[in-house]
Amino acid sequence: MRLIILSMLFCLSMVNANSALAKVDVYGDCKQQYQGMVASSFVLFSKKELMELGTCTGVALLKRNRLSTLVYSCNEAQEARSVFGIATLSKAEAIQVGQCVGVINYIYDRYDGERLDYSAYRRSNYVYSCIRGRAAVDLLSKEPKRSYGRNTVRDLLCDRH
Amino acid sequence: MSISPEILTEQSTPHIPQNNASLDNKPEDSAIPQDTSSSPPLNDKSENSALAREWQLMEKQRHKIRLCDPRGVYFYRHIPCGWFASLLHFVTLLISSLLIAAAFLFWLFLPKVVEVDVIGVGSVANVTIIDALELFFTALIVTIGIHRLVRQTRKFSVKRYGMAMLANACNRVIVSYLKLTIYVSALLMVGVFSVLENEQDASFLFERLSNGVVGDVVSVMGSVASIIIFYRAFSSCHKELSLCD
Repeated sequence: MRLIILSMLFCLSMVNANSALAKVDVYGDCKQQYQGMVASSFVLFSKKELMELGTCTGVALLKRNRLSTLVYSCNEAQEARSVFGIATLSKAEAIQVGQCVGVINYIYDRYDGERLDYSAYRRSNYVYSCIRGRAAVDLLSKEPKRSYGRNTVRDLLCDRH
Repeated sequence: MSISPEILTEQSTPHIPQNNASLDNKPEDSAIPQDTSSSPPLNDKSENSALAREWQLMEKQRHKIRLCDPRGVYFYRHIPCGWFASLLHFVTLLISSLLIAAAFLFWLFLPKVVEVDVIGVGSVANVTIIDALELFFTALIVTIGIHRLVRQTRKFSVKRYGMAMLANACNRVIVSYLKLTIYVSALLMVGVFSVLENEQDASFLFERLSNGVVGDVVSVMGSVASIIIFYRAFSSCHKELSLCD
């Protein structure tokens, strides 16, 4: 009887083994964050590391105008606020949530309170003020699903005063 | 021990107890009231035919070919199945057990189901804890059921009972899933038709159900539903046979 249960647990751990051998090709300089992750199928102990990996890759892709799944990621970030919390969160979803939140935080840190970067010909004292957090996630998740660059996201999230 | 129909037809009247003086009534016990108002005297023929009808029903229920009714198989475990019933059990057992095993292995091993391409990272596992728990519990229910069934049939050998029970349990799982799918599709159809009247695109309804917080709740409810389906189908496998059956 115990043999049966043990063999089933072994089968379930095969799920872990399958994904640990999966093709992972980390973009940019984010290999360090990837090494810090626990090689397991589940998010139980490595949510923070997964979010950091997502942040790193999301910002790197945004800077090169290659982030085509920003709206999907922010949909997942909205989903992550459900009643069940971490129980319905998978590794891929955690990384996507990290990408969305990382992009929002990056735009906020870079542009909030900064003067508009017009060229020297037009001086202006206008300043950006950016939103972050839940409101930003909700706003981004309603956008049409296409590729976004840094300037587009900045114009979505930030107001000029 | 079974009542055979020959006894019924031989007897002309069923045995109705009567209060005769030949019983142990002593004359001193006048305090015991004599039961003069007995049950209304039935016509012998009508009681016979009523019993004969009930007997026919019981015979029909006994020899019914059960394909997705594990509780019925357990209830009539003292009746051995015919060869045609066993043939049907074997064929349906093959089909439904292969379906269940395929669905299980599909979820464990197929990379397209388990993994998802995340941009910037590659293919990452898309398995949640609730998925893994569902797989574990359904596998546990099935293996415990089979284990107990094998143990019972080894102790008290009833002809082809094990295969009948297993076939019924697996078919019951498939039939329950079909029923669930039909109910959910009916609900969705109602939703789609109510939305179409407002001239909106119906595909957004499916998107809303598969993504977002609603999608998470629906998938958790689906996992709970499948565990309940497996438990109810395989619960009759635990029930014990005994020497008297």
